[in-house]
Amino acid sequence: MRTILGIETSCDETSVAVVDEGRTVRANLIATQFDLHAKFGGVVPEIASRAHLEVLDPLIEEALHVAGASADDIDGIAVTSQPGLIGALLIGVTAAKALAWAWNKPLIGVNHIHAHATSAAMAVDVAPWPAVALVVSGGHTSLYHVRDFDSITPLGATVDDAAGEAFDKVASILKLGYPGGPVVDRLAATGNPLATRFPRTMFDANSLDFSFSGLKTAVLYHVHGAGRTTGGLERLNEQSIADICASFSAAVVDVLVEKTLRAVQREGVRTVVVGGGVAANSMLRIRLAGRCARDSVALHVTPPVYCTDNAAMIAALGYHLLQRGHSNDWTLSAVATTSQS
Amino acid sequence: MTNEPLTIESHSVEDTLRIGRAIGNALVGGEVIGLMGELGAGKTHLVKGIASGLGVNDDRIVNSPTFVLVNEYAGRVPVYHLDAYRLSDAGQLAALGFDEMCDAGGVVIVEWADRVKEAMPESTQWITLVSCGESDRRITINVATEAMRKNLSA
Repeated sequence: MRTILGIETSCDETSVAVVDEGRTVRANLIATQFDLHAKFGGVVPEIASRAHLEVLDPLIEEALHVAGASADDIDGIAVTSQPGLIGALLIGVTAAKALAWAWNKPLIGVNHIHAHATSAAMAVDVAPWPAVALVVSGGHTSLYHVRDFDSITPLGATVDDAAGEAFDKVASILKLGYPGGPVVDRLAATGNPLATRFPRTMFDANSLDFSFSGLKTAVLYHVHGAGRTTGGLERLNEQSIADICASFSAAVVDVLVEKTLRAVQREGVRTVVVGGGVAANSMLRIRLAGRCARDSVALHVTPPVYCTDNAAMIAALGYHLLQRGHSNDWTLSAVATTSQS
Repeated sequence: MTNEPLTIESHSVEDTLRIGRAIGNALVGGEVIGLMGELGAGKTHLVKGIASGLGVNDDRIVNSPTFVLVNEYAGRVPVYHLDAYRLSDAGQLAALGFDEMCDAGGVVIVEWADRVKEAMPESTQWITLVSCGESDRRITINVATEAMRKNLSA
């Protein structure tokens, strides 16, 4: 039981991977980053279940080809079964069931957020558990206590906007384009993080929940004036936009770092892992590393290639779940997004 | 039932939640609600209130579906919370299974619904949120039912 085929179709991305022993990635293909143009004579449309349906079969074939693997080499099929768009998930789950049945291999349903929470383990020699996991992306901002790959407890989550969404909406307020996270991050590096003191929502001392909606609105009104949604951007020069990016980033990062270390203390662990798209944010990496070093806490940030939605992390977690005796029968069903997953 | 639009002033997030609850209380299932309003106008907070009025116990689970596109909550009836912010045309809404959700007997709420207006059913109840101060919002219900009026005047 060492080589797992992973399938991910929970939202925008269709992805297929072949991973050995939860660590050695032999193939990790993402449809939007992979040239299917020649095969389809068209652009891969986003956000449509139909898109997953059209690209999944050739992507599976291509992943096996890239990995130099045949059906005989595969020891299990791991698939994202929750959370996500129900129609999109169903396509992956149905394909995984068909392959598992036809090839007579174990089927493993994987929770997409748990895969993000454990993705940092793909790049370390010894599994880093127990740890506090921060999953931070466009759709999710959550803390977990990970005791093992199959023992993951939620500690807190955003009650309104995810951190990555706040980055994108601030980029939109500043008309910096989409996706906004990387642009805001780049401009923040040249700005003054102390230029404006934007609000940091901490809730009470015990809460590990997040809120970034008020921060987004504070940036909006800082730009345009209280209660106004237009007219202010023209007054800002390049430096003041960089200062807003830096001050906004600092507010997000302060909350993420503070809550993560609060969770470390409360749960009595000495390790932090970070996964999800915003894990690539440079201010977050620098400040979290600084704070963890100061508090003698080990920090493992998922390599950028496994931070976006990808099937390698699904195959990796699937491997560890199978090792621990977890697999699913043909009743495995897709479960839509609820914020408590 | 009357066809007069109803406008309510909100002066805080708490007001918006309360207004949302009053609206949610008046819903029975089968309704489709289209929300319009700029960034920061309080759409997600209004949905928290509506979900609470529909019997969703913990409003912390009601959060922005901008990236995940659809959230589902279990209330008196199923609540489908959609966000069209990232959608570029009405066809993409259909691709999310919008028609099936509308026929499921639950309540379907779409943020940024004006972006996919062509795909919204004729029976859509439109609600517009407008910022008119740091925490002041004007919330207009296009076609307010008797039950909504009663709840909102209580």
